Amino acid sequence: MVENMAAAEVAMTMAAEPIDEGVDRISGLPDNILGHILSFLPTKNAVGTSVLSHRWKYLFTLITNFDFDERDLFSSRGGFRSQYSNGSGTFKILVNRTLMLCKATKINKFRVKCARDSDCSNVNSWIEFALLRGVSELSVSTHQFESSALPRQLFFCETLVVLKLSGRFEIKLHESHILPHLKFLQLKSSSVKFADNCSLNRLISGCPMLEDMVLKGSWEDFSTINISSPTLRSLTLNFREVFMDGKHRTNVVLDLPNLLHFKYVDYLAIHYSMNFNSLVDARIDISLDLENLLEVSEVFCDSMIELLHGVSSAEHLYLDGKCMEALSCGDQFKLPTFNRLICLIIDWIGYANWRRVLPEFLHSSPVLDCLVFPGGLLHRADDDDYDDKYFWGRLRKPPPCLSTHLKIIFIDKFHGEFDEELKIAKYLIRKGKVLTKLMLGLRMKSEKGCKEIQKLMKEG
Amino acid sequence: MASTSTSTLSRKLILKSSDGEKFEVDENVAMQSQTIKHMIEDLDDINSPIPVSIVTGTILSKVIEYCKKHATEDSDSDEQLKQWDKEYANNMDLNTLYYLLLAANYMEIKGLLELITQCVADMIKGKSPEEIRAHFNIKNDFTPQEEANIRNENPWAFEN
Repeated sequence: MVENMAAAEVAMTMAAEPIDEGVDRISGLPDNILGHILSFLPTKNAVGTSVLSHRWKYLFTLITNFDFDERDLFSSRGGFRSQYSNGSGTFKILVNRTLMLCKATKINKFRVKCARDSDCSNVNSWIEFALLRGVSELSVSTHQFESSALPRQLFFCETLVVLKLSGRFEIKLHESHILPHLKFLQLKSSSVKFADNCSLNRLISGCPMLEDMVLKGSWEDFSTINISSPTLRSLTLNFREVFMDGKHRTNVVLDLPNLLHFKYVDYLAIHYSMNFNSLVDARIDISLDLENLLEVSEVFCDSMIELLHGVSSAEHLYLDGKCMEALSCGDQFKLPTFNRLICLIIDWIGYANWRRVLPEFLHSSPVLDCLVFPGGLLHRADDDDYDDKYFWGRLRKPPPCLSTHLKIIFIDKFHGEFDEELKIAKYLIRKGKVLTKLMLGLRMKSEKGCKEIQKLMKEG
Repeated sequence: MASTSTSTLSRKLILKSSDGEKFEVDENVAMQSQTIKHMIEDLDDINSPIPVSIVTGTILSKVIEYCKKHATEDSDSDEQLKQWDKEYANNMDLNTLYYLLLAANYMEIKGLLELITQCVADMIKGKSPEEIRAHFNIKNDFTPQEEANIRNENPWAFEN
């Protein structure tokens, strides 16, 4: 059925697949295949092939993926700006030129990353170029000082599957905006502005297929983060960059019943209201502005409890040490029950005290299988008799997980010479009825530590 | 080339290469080729060999190896499959890669085409024009003046 001339010709050349060293086979491939190959290269390399031979001179105009990174374009191997980047407008000119020569009517990926002092005035026309050609992955990164409005068409694009925006920008949504196939959305910005009557949640409501969202930057103008989506499976909120002084967010409201993966980096907000039914893993990494908010620090404990309630369905939970400090700000606290929690990782707790927090977590995690202390068991808090008494009082009746589930304990940065860490380790070994593996990352400095660890191992 | 990996319910097809070699494959293996899929729809008798007219036996057997691996679902994780793909492509010499590209293009096997295309693109990436010419035996048919003109048009594209 494909007995046309072209096929017959190729058949002849393929008949014996001669193994011919020194013959240029690649130039004999059809245009569409060569265009396809060049589409897998950074656009700089694709354009660079125009100098190979006459056959290659215009092949780069067939590419369907565009990848312009100003830093790669203009930095020579030594990392210095090259002689060709005379002025901030050069990048603009060469992107415009390459796009002008483009013959593809349908493109797949479009990525443009401007350098810090670049002229970004044509960014919107580049976005429109990509949208007109049915782009499916669009990634735009700029460094403008003033936030600029994104083209409206961006929020009506039927073909977009992946959208990544980085820079200062303003989002204006039309009443009926819709991104019917968008699955991945990343907004990285120190300054996102939504025009009147627009909000993050309104944007998301127009993305019926959204599965994965990443918000990065400081998002400092947002005292409330409100996200709801029935389809979202993975959410990363990484708000640590540059932050307002002591201005904790007031509310974080997340209604994501099908979320599986949650990563959260932020100053602790005052209130959390989260609906996750079936988290697989959650990673919580908070900051506290204790200096500016010392007088109200008790609220940190309540806020932290609200946050932990939100992630209480997780199977794997990583808690940064600051979470423990927040809990320690309150006199007493009651944790939610972590009914599905299999693996708990608590990083170095700083100024909090293990004796206050560890028993609570053990009692609240009935099926805990694996417990990890990547930052070791030491802390900077002052020890006092009260904490010691409290610790043993809470553990007089061993937490159920110790006798039924807890199999693996990993303690990194273990010195072996401090009472505090030895006491906790010994307790876990003695009461861990089903414990099969204890791993210690050793930081031994003295002989005493050595002996204590040997003793500990014998007990195990 | 009888396959044992899939269910016995699957129909068998016979593919015939340009040099007359015959391969019996499960229907779901062959159907990864859009071209064959369309051919089958037009065929009355699926027992007669299906001609894959421009692909030789040597290449066709490699194509089938790929299709078999990708026809059996859920046996491997994505990660394992990627690793397999990588090794598969790395084991081919340049000559075989060209014929596989033509075969994947003609037979419309998207995954295979992407895999080999990426593999060839990786050979170009990071190389100077001189290195690319040497690697693929491309003859520079520009006069020095022509070449200089092209370099001047897009000087940014020729730096490393």
